[in-house]
Amino acid sequence: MDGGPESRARAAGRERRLLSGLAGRRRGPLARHLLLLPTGVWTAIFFLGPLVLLGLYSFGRENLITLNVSLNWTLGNYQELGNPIYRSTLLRSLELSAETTIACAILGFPLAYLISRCRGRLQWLLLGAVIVPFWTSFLVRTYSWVNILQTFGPLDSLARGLGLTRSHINLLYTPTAVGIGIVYSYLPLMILPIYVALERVDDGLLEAAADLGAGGFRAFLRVVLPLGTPGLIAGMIIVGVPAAGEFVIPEILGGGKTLMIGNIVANQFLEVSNYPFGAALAMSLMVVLMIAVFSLRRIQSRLQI
Amino acid sequence: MPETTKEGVTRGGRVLSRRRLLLEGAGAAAGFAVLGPAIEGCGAASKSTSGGSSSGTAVMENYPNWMGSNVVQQFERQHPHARIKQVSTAPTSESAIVPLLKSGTYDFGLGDTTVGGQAKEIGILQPVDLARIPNIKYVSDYFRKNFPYGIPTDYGKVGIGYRPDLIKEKITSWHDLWRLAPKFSGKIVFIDLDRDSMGSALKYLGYSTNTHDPAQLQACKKALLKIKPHLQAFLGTNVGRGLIDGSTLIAMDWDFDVALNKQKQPKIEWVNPSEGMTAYLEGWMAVKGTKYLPLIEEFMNFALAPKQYGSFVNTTGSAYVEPAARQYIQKALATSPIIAPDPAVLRLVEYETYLGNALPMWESTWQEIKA
Amino acid sequence: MNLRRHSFAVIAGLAVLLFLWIPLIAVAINSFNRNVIMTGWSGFTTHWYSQAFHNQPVRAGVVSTIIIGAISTAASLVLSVTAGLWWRQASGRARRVFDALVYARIILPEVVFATALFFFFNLIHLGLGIGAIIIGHTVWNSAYATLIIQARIVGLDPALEEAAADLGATPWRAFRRVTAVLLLPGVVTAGLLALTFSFDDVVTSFFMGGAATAPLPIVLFGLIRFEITPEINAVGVLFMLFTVAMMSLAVSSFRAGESVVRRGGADRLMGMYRR
Repeated sequence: MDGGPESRARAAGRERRLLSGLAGRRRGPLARHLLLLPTGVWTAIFFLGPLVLLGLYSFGRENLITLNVSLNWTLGNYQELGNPIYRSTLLRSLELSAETTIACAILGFPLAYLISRCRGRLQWLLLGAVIVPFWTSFLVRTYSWVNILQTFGPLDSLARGLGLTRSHINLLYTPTAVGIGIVYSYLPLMILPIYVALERVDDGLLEAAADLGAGGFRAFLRVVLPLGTPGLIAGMIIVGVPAAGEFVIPEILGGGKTLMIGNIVANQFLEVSNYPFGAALAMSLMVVLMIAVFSLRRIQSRLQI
Repeated sequence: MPETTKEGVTRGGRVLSRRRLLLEGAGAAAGFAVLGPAIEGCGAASKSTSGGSSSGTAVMENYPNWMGSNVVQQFERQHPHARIKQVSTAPTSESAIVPLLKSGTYDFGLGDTTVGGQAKEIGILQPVDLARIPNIKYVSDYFRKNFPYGIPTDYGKVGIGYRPDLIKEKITSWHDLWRLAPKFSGKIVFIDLDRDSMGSALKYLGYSTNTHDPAQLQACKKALLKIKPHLQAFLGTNVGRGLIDGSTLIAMDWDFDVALNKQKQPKIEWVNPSEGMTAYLEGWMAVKGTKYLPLIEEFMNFALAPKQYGSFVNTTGSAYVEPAARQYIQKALATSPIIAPDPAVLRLVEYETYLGNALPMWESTWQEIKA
Repeated sequence: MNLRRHSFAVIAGLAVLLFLWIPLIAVAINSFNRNVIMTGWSGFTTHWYSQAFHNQPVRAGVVSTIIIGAISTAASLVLSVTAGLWWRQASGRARRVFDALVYARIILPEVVFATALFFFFNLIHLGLGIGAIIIGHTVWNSAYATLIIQARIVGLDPALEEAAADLGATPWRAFRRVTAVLLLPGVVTAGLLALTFSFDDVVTSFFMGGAATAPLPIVLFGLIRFEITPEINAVGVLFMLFTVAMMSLAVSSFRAGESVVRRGGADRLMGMYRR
């Protein structure tokens, strides 16, 4: 073809379209939303469907003897939530979640940062090292903590052997044990998102910071932390939200002495079979946690570069 | 180490207790099958008439391994046109069994007295003709009387297991336990189930384990809250395990669990508290609308033959209801006074019945205790 | 890597890594312990491993768990990558709605979701079983995966893809050589997480499995309720080893085709572009 100005303009136009197409800014509306189709369809059918059903249940009533649920359009279930026991249990669970999330963040950040500074094989190895212990199945791990923390168990023998304590330790079935169990179980969930975000922090940036006079901690504060924050926020959500509903670990390691909101919810569905009330409880819990999460997201969007 | 029984090594070598399978948390009624509690108007597929066929396949709702090894195979061999299909559901509580039976998927199933009571009340219980189950004669009258819903198979009473060698005290009653609690604070375990813990506390107070009285329940709650600070834990499984190495000194526990742990640690002692014990009594009951009633009755009869029933006890290790089966029960279990059906002990036992309208009250009381 | 500059991270990081391995080491050691109640060591035995190996429900459980995990993870990655790319250029309002649904999937307690999904399946007459479990797992696995991939996408510089376009790459080629490459750490991480979640899951699996299917955690649950013996530890160790073996196989075949250090490629591109 000839290389005249017309064809060159056409080529430039094509290029521009390619460009915006790649950057995704001005694709045709259909093509753009095509990407959303898989998630959209899946969520609509298999999440929203059940959720709507749940909502309907929350306005229903159940005869606890015959176990027949009827749709009465009643607010009774929500009114029952006024009982102070639910508020105090919820607060207790949120408190536990906050504490364990912070602990996970503090413990997880250094390791995530370390992994992100490694290259190639070493990085894979470390990632694997983080995940592999968690392929032993949740129950096996948790009961292993029971074994480790119990009186006459390995930790007990170790502490006494090292002379750290004269009498036997009494760690099992205490809030501390629960904390250890939860922090342990959720730590990879904090490490991985932070790693993902930190991985794109170029070493060059840190070198540049050092060249400009900011070493060590200052560089961390001004460069690493801000760039890792999207991952940190993601980690806090992935850890904090499920931790708030956690009840299995408090049962196993805590000796069932403290009621968590997760217990109450699970009881409604598994033991009491009071689905309408359970549904109302679940919906309310969702609202509370949604508010918490969206507040966190506000922070994240403000921090976005 | 695995135990050898007459049938060989049992699965995992240990006692499988149905009661232990009641666990808070992640378990669920897997066999919810077709229609759980259906929204009214959508209609549950309930069959309303019971049929009479002795050939075909009867579906049984059961706990995992809660059957004598080979019992089903031998039955099927003797009755060529009959099949028993066991669906192991392992629900987390007795109340979760009723929706299963209601769903119409099962012809019969395992449930305790509370399940039977509720099933009868909502009209899904199919009475069985005991005349067609002659082997019921081997079951003591006492159990037959207390389980009018079908055939009783086993029971479990809640008493006390402790280490007299370590605490240098003698315990004979719930009063002793409550009295000694402050002294051995932090070394006492209770059962993490409402009927068992609250029932025992009610016995301690001299009340019935099936009370509907709010005042009594409040007193029960107070008693449990009073001892709660001294408790090491509420446990739902492996309750008395700490007794073996002494990390637990006193445990409210089921008879079979203490008997089991005693085999590992002979210094553990079992107590039938003088005020009385709450207990569950369970058995097989048929569901209304089943088409295989004669088949079920034949199977029930077969399973109650002393040899087959002995096999059942060997597999489950549970307290048994047929004294005649003792010759077929392995020595360790047969000679244990803890699970033997001793009339003097049974006089102290009260079986749990269906609470009906008192259920919400019990549930909220238990919640307040645990909170 | 400059060890001196990162000395704190190295020490703290390795300490935490050790903490992560403590239960695994305890599990492994106890799996050979002759002592049934595992307080104190009573001698070495492989009895528990043979017991675990011959346990038919355990073997079946391992197989079904791996299948469920693999398919659900793959599905979740597809869902989350496509959704993440859409999210990149979506409007603020659309993003907020999308995010709300992602969070909702994580926030809804699993026991509630599992029950609701179960009733929903009954309503639309869909059968239970492995397929149903996979569907359930994918709902929340895709949510977690989306969050992780979003954390990565947020930092994706469109300039790199523009550079690729400038150099004549088609949209698909640009995606394959630039975008996918840059997303890879996020995708791999999300995949690892989803896989682990699936392997561990009890609640959804129990509700959606029906009576016939028992993935490994449920089998373990039953074993634990019977009695806690070292057999459980043996099962845990065996499953972990099996998974590691399979992952190594997958990784080595993946690496046979492509180079792993992706940043090198993007850096070179960036360098070319910037100059």
